[in-house]
Amino acid sequence: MANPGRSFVTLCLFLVCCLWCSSLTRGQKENRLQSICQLSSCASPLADDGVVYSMCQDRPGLQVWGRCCVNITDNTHNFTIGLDLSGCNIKDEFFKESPLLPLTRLQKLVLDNNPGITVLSREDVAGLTDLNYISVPTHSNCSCPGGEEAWRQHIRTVNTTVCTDQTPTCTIYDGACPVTTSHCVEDGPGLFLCLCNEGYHGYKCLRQGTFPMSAFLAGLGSSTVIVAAILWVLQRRHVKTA
Amino acid sequence: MAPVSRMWRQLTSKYTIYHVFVFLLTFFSYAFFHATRKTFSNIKTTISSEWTPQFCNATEPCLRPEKIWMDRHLFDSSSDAEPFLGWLDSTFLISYAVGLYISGILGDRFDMRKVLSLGMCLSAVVVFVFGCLTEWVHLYSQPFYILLFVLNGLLQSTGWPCVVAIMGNWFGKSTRGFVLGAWSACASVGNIIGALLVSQVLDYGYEYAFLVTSAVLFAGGVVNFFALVPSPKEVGLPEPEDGDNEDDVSDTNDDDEDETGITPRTPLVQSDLDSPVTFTQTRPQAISFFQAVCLPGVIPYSLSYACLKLVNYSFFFWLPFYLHSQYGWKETVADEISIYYDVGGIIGGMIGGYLSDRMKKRAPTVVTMLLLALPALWGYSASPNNKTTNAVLMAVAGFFIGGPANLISSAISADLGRQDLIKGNSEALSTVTGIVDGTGSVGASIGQVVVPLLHKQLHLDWHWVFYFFMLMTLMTAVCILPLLVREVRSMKCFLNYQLRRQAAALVQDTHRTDRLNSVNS
Repeated sequence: MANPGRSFVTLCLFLVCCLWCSSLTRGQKENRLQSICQLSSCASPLADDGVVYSMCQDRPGLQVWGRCCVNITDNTHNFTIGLDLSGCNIKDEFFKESPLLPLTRLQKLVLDNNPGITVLSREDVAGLTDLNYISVPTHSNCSCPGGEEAWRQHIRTVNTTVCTDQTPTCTIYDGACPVTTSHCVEDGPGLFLCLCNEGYHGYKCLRQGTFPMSAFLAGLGSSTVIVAAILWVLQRRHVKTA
Repeated sequence: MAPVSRMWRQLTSKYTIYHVFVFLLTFFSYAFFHATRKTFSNIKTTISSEWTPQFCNATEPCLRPEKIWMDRHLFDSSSDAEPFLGWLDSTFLISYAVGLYISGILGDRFDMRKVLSLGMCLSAVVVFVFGCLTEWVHLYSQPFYILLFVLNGLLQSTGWPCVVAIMGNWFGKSTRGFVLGAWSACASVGNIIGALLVSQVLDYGYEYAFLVTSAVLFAGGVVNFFALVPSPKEVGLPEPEDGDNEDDVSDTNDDDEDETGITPRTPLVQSDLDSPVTFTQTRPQAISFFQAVCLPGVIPYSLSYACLKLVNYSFFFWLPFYLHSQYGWKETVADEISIYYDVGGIIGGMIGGYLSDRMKKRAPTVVTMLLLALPALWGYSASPNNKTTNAVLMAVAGFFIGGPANLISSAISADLGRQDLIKGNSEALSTVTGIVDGTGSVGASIGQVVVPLLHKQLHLDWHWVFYFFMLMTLMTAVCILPLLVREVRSMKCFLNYQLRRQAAALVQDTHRTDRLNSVNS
């Protein structure tokens, strides 16, 4: 690295690479968003009698986009706030790759008429803190994700179970997070996160502050040199070698 | 002021600036070794929580995000990690014991300064890899940890034989008991240094505790390399008096030497002056391992130290736990109180050393202290649930157990390695120290197996553990018994000899006065 020009060029190349990579990943995200709104398995377009459709009609700045209801007021990011996948032949495997994870602002989710869904776990809707309406097919096994205690209201009919308004998980599991080092944060129905408190970091939030590495090494190194030099003058200088 | 200045003159005639720095350098070298060991025992709680996921079950939910709480699975829980930590301790002790035999031999064959410096620096590197590097690269592997502990035990074992041999080279037999008794505080001081350093940086992460103590150990190795003078011969000073032949010399510092004029000291002083002239760098040949084993006193003291170090180390490892389980005291309180055992040991080592210096015999002092250790142990096991009483009784037990242990491992080892039989002809000091301490460490590692066996497996009362300690202490005394008999007998002979000489001097005096009288008359 003797040549500064060359290192500069290397740095530029590196930065370009980084930009390219990040644009690539963003593109993937958008593709995924589009694909979940326009699933090929959905036989019909969004029915105009569902809650997602009516929400999109009622409020300004919202637009139906395939099976999604998207907030278009913010032109850099389009937030999907409603998703109706009723009759889309969704099976349990669909949730394996956690397709709902990017839809962080989702408020209403409808999964009616999908006999392939037998179990819907809370991990499948992890992170959806804004979710206040979910409708799932009524099965013996299938209930609202996170169980009954995760929701304020349940309306169970023959075909669908509708749950509304999440109960705050952090109040249910009060004190589950190690109290001095971390705090509880909501993370969707029946889920919470323990995040490190201000100043704490690392695995299990055990670490606090940053070690003054350079000061320590400089201090110890210089004092070692000084002590060694002084003691050499006092001691080993007088050693007679054969 | 006169006695003070005379004492000062005596001190400066006996000790040089070299003595001071040799004392300090060896003291802190071993203290830093011990500080890295203490680091491990003090971060056990933290490291076992770093190795494991957060506990969860049906009632307690598993914490998320997984990356923060559930990512590491070296063990399922902290209680699963506990036996492994015990295994690491035993691994260390065994490889340390083996290493002591080897390092002792190396110390007599190579420059002890280089052996010690290299041992300190390499041990620092191993500790750094164990505690710091594995955390930085997130490598958590049981076999790798065991391997590092084996290496660490071998490397740490370079410390004791070298530092004791160097101290033995500089401090002669007549003061060795007291000086080395005081010097033995290095292990306890090291524990305190380690505990302080750990508590200062543990918040940054446990790896920094290892980083700091290992860096300090490394720095100590570097300083030793440039500063340590392992033997007075290297700077043209005479070697200290040793063996039994100077027995009749040491007391002649009294005033009566001025009156008698010629004392047995005179030839010794002359030889002292001669030695710088005959000063050579050719090092005497090192004694072989088996020759060293066969030196008189080495086997009895090694066996006795095996029994005694078992008791001593069991106290070291189990005392806080005992206090915690027997009296229900908090672990921090138990840790603090257990310091008194060390304090008692240091004082016992110094006083015992001083007494044995005055008597010029070590075995009587050691055996007396060991016999007194039996009631002390019994008394401690019957201690009431009161912190002050317990601390006092603990200090007493430390005095009578830790004291002789310090004496045997340092002063007596040095005596054995510099006895008349090999004096000047060969190097044996470091080998002998290695043998004594190595056998002791074997005993200590056996104790690490037996104490939990007695207490946990057989579900015996703690009293049985103390009976076992008393038995081992008695065994220690029994092992030294042959030496005690011999030393007492030689003391008798010596006393007879002294008496006869005094009688002869008296007779001479009366003759002289008679002659004077007859001349006068």
